[in-house]
Amino acid sequence: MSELPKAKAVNSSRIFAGLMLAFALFYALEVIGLKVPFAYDPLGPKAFPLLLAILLAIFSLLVVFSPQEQEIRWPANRLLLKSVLLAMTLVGYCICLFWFGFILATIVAVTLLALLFEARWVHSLSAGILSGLIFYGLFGWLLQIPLPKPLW
Amino acid sequence: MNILNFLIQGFSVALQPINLGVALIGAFIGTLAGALPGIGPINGVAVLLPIAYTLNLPPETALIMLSGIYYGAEYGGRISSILLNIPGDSSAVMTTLDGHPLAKQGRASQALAISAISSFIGGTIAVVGLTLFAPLLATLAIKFGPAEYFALIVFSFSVLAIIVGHKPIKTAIAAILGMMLTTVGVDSSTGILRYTYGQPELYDGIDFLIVVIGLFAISEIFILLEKTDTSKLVPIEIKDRAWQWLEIFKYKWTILRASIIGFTIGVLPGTGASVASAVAYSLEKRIGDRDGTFGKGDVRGLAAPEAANNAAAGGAFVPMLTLGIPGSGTTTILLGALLLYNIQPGPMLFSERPEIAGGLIASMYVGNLMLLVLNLPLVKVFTRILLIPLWLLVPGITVMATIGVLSVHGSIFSLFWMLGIGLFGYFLRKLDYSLVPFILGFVLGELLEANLRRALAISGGQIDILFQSEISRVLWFLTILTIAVLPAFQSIRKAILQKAKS
Repeated sequence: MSELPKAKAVNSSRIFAGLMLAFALFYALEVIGLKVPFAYDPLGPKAFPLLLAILLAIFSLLVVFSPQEQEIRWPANRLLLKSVLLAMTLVGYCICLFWFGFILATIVAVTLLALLFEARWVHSLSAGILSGLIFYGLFGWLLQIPLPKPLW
Repeated sequence: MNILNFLIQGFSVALQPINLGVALIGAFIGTLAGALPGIGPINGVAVLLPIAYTLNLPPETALIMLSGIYYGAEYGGRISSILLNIPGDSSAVMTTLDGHPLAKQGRASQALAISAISSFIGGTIAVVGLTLFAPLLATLAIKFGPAEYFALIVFSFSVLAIIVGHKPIKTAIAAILGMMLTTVGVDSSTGILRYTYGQPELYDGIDFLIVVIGLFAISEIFILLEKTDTSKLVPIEIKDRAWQWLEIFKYKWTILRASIIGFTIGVLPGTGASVASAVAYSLEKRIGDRDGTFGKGDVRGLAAPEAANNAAAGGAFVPMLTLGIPGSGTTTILLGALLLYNIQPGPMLFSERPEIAGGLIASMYVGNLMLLVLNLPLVKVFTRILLIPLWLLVPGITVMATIGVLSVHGSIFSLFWMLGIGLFGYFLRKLDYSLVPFILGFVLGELLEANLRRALAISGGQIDILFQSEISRVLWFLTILTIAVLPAFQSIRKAILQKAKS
């Protein structure tokens, strides 16, 4: 943490507030462009989103100009790599569910997740296989929740 | 409405075998969710809500189970607080202060027993309060029109800003972002599409279940990646002998005081168990800490926050059931659950669907009793489960969350929404934004817009309808008062927290 310069004017809190400000503008413009042929109420569908956008802009500006906060500890190095891998595993899981079906996708995903949380290979693989079968047995078979089947 | 009849009818629902069964399941899962650090009641409720919904459980049954998870978690939180010095969830922070020192002195089983009984008394007093006050408040709520509802929702956001907010501005931003998400989809009064970008999946708006699961369960997974693994911690062994039951009478005033404080704070919209336990602890310390024993293993310092957080959990049901304004993060999700079943909480719930309101309230008497039994003799079982390693816990949450979404929407589109919202929730949490105002904004945003537009449609565009009735004037006055005392309240709160820590 020490490598951060002391009088740094831009930190993640302000960057986020800046993004929110931009989002407020975008959000407002989107609704202004709506064509409303008729509305039964005097306010119509535009007023509330506009009000929200104005409020968001005001509060975001307050954050941008409020006193400097302590910089947030973002994941770095190894932890950052693990976070990215975690996100990729989750996205991959969602896609694989519809290709390989629930059981197979769950076995792979649980194994990978367990490895990410520093389990040993044997443990991870057995956790994967067991949870693939148990979750399917409990929810897919016993409780009849429609879970994706393999494409083939 | 006759309270006795109301209760009798409620018990006839709550004592049906299926409802007793789900209450027990809820109590068990709740204790578990509370005890596991990182998994709070919100996660438990979020993940199980879609499954309860898909199983076509009747609304009262689903609500009984989910509520059991909610107040059960207040029991579970104390286990890891006492044995590991890690609060199981945010409302159990105060329990560590005297609970863990007691355990270190070799009085772990005494600490667990006392806190379980305090939890039970606090929880039960809250249910009695709920039985008495809820129907009363419901009769008042009949007078609420669109203008009054609008004022009430604004008021609850202002209360939330104080209580959640050590950072009121961030609380406001989170609430606004939540409300913005509700504007996606077809506008119900004109049929115009807002923010849908031609995607048919977005026409109905973003599903509440997907938002809840993503926001809480998925963001939690990323947070857990940074946490130390509790399986490597060693909980304090329970080896002291059984404890003299009658000793609890020594602490009757402490427990009673804390329960009443907890219930009152729980009833306030937007405030929850963590505030209640902090206030109860500091009050008890002020009254009773003559020899400086608080923080070193004083039983009163353990009994007070535990009674208070359970009482607050019960109290949070009062505004949720009578007004449709949730009193805490988890009751927000319970409110969303009711809306899923097309049940509008509020005064009509008590007169038209008494099996839901009464059944839920009656089940809470039973549930607290079950929790007492679960938490006294079976506490060692939960201590074992406490040590479940993260590498088993995290995949478990992931698969449950995915099944939850799949059970309502079998499309990859909704799974991606879940992940996207989860990642956004993670960034919000890292940036010190609370997720509670976000979800409250998401649940109440639609009501806020609908009531505002309805009120102005009645008045033909005259804005003064919002301030005309006495009820709405009182609510606006309270809102202004809340915002005005905000800075003062915050400095007091800071002082209290610092005192409690030192």
